[in-house]
Amino acid sequence: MKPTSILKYFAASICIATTLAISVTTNKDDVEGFFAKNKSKSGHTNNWAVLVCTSRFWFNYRHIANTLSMYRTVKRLGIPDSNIIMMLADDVACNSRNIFPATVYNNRGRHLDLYGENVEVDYRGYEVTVENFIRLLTGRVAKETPRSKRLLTDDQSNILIFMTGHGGEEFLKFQDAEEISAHDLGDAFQQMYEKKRYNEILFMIDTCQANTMYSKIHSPNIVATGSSKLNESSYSHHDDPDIGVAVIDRFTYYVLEVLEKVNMQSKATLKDLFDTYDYNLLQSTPGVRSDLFFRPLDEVLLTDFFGNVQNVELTESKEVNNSLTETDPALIDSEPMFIEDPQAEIASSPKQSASWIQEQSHTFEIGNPDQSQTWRYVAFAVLSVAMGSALIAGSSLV
Amino acid sequence: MRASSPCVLLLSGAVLALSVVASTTSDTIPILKAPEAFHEQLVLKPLNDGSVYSHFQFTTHIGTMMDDDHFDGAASNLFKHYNLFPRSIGQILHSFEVEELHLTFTQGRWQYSDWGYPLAPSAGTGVELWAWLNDDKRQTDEHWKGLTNTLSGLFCASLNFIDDTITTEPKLSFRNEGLYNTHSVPSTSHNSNNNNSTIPRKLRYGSLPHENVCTENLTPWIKLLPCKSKAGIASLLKSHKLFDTRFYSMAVHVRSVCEDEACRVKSLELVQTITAVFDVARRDRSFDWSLSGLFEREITQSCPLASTSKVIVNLPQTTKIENQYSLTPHPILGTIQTEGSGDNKQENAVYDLKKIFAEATTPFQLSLHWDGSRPKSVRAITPGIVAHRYFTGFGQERGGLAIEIRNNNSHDIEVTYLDTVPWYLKLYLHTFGIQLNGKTLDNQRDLVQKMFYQPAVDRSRPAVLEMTLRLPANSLVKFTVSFDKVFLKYTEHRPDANRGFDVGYAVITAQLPREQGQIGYGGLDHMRVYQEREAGLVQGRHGSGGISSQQKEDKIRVYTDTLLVSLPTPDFSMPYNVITMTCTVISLFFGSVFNLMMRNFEVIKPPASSKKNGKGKEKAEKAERK
Repeated sequence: MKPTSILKYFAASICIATTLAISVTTNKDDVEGFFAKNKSKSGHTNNWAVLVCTSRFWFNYRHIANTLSMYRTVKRLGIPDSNIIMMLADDVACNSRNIFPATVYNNRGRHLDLYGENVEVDYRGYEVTVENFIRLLTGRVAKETPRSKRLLTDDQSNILIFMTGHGGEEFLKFQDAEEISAHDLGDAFQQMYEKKRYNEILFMIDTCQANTMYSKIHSPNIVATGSSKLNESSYSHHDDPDIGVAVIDRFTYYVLEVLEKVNMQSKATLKDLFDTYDYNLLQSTPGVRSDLFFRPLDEVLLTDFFGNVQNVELTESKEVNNSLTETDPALIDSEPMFIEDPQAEIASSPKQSASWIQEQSHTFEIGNPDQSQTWRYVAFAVLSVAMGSALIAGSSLV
Repeated sequence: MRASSPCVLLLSGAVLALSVVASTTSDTIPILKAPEAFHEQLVLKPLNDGSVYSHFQFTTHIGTMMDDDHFDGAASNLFKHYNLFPRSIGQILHSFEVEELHLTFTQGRWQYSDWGYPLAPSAGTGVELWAWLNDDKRQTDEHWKGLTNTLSGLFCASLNFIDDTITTEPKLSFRNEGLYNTHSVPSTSHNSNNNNSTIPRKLRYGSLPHENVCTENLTPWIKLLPCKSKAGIASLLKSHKLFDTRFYSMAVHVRSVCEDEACRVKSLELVQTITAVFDVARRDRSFDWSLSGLFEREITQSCPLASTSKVIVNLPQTTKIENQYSLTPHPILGTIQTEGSGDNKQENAVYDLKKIFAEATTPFQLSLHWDGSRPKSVRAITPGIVAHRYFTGFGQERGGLAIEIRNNNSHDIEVTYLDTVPWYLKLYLHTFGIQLNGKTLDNQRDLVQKMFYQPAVDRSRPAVLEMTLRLPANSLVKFTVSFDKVFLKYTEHRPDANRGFDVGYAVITAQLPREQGQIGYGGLDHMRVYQEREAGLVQGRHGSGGISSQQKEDKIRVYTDTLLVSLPTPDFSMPYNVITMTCTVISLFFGSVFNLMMRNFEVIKPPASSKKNGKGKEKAEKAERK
């Protein structure tokens, strides 16, 4: 009995291995066949930024300046106001303490006014709460929330989430009254993952003990960086004697030094940014978490997150079974029926087909779907046979 | 109205469209659609204390399509084609069925005693939003909620905080400023049912006294203008200078107006105003000012989409005959407009930018230079009604609210007083007292003609006190009411709880005769191009012959200051203290009591001879652990 059972096990394992290999390889080809030519491209089509400053009061001027510096950077690199959600917990520009009204500077020399003439703050003042932040991320906002206060991302959006304020071990303080914990953040990201609300996220946080904040994230495709590790504080950089308070934090200051040299055509990568982290300058140990991120960091462009540079695919030939013809309902009606193509059955009602097409364009069944489909069926059948035989052999043993 | 080809095209297209519509629907009668127009004006007035008052006004008119039976200025099908009228406002008006909308953002305090009354009537600090909503589907509350949220997204302000605890429905104040005021036009042969239309309307009013105004509110406001800030008068709007002023107010008003005297043709009017009072002497140490000094920008070209584009300077009326100031460029004699005569004379220098830029290509410069660099002998301003509202009492349990209204006119005036008190200040109406010129008034009916009081419901709606008062001439009236402060739940406090809570302003509405010295004098009719026709219609309806053509009246609103009240504030670290102490006590108490109760002590006889103490000890330990 035993040699036959061993043989059975051997055969089963070989079957399983081959079927898995086949299914995995064909799957990956399909997935990356449309949007990316190789592994280094991210496959996103739009960029969003969520910039949050959680601190209130005049002496936290530098947190507002941090957030506005990031705002200016992402705007300069192409992300439009409609794709930026900015949350500022206090107003320092038109504060009566500000001797330079309607301006915010991040530099003692006051070279650049971050507020400018064209600024859009989506959540301000008392609206910046933990509840609103989590609702924004997960999309569970009230029915009457206006469009500019919603995060309308889809599964091809790269999101930059930048948070700054006062924090501690696995928490971040919102307006001196409540906290968001690292668990809340991890759960929010997991909800986003389940709802397919992002392609990749860059989570950047500049607070004390910032690295603890991303320790509880457990969803894929998230790269996180923080300004200081456990039991370390992050420090401000310098202050402006006329304004009277510190105007920028060290971590943001040095990150901006790198980002100011980036333009929309830049090929600088995340690894270049992370390599510039220097304990002597920052006086704290910044950290990077990339175990949940499946692309190597030296191939991730900075403009994948900070800018709005999209991947463009040039089609060479007009393919019959691709999305170009499917978007036009009139064409579908006149086209002869594809028996294998389930869309044709729904073509009779144009509205349904339109919505179906939308979903269809997001699944990666372009190229030759039949081939990979049949392979998958074969693999499944072989796998089930192998498992069944293994079970029988095992039961006979026992 | 300029006869230009786009207007003619639009008109003909509209007529064609209407005829098509008429052929398909049997009940509608085709009515001429008024074309779109955009007017811009800037009024500058040097005030007595040296500050400079500036008022920008941008008016957009869009014609409406309507039929005899059913005219809805906002909810009709007029918003199919947007040219000058901003699409964002049009869509908001359409989806929330808004007939009239008034939204004002204000920063600073308007000093009535020094400056008189502003051209823009809303001068209360913070955000003020009031609207007349169409109520025929009984969805006013949902529409109001949607309206506040959508406007908060459009103007980047926290207007979504205007909820039930802040919203009120005033019964006497804030009447329609457009067509649907309670004194409706009597029916004429053509529009029998039009203005007395049976569609019910509801008023909703809300204000946020602590809302601050900054560039993020100005940016979307400028984007509503046809020329944005690229050409015309709007190119002067630079946020760094506008927010460095003593008073800044920015408003959006939408209402329906009549295009002709018989009110056969109606249009929707969008008025955007910015009011700013510049403290000139603070920076320059002289009272001379110029456009480039005030705004740090220049008008390089006029807005091509504007029908009229004017800069109006209210010339200071000095008491001495010789000129004590010089205005450059000197207004050509033909462009000085004079209102009134004698003591009430007001001269305005009007610069027509369309003409100026047609002739010259240099940027428009304007400056005023005082003789000796100080304004002298300028006529003083005495506003007719001034009000002061303040808290009385001390402590964190109770307090009082006092309002003083002074009537400086030489005749009796009827005013309407509106006060919204938040629910956490429990008013006691039985403590309501009136003092006239320092003496307590026994018969309140002499003064208070109508009173409307809505008591507050905790966490649900505020208290509203509205009164119609008849103020005697040259008098000071003082009201006092007592209240108790509520002890809030600790989650209801704001993040910066020790600052206190803001209580909004009170609004006093009055109809004052137009007198020199009020900023509105000589200006208001020029500003609202259609207001005079409206005013004429109102006077005609009243049929009051007592008002002569010279003695015109203005409806003004006086806003009192916003107040700050500190409610009993808890120590927010107490929950943490309680938890740690309770946990410590419980662990010590529970631990020891549990051990005492559950430990079983057994007497163990030591074994007889051979076994040593060590083993005996082990046995004893085993027994204990059970």
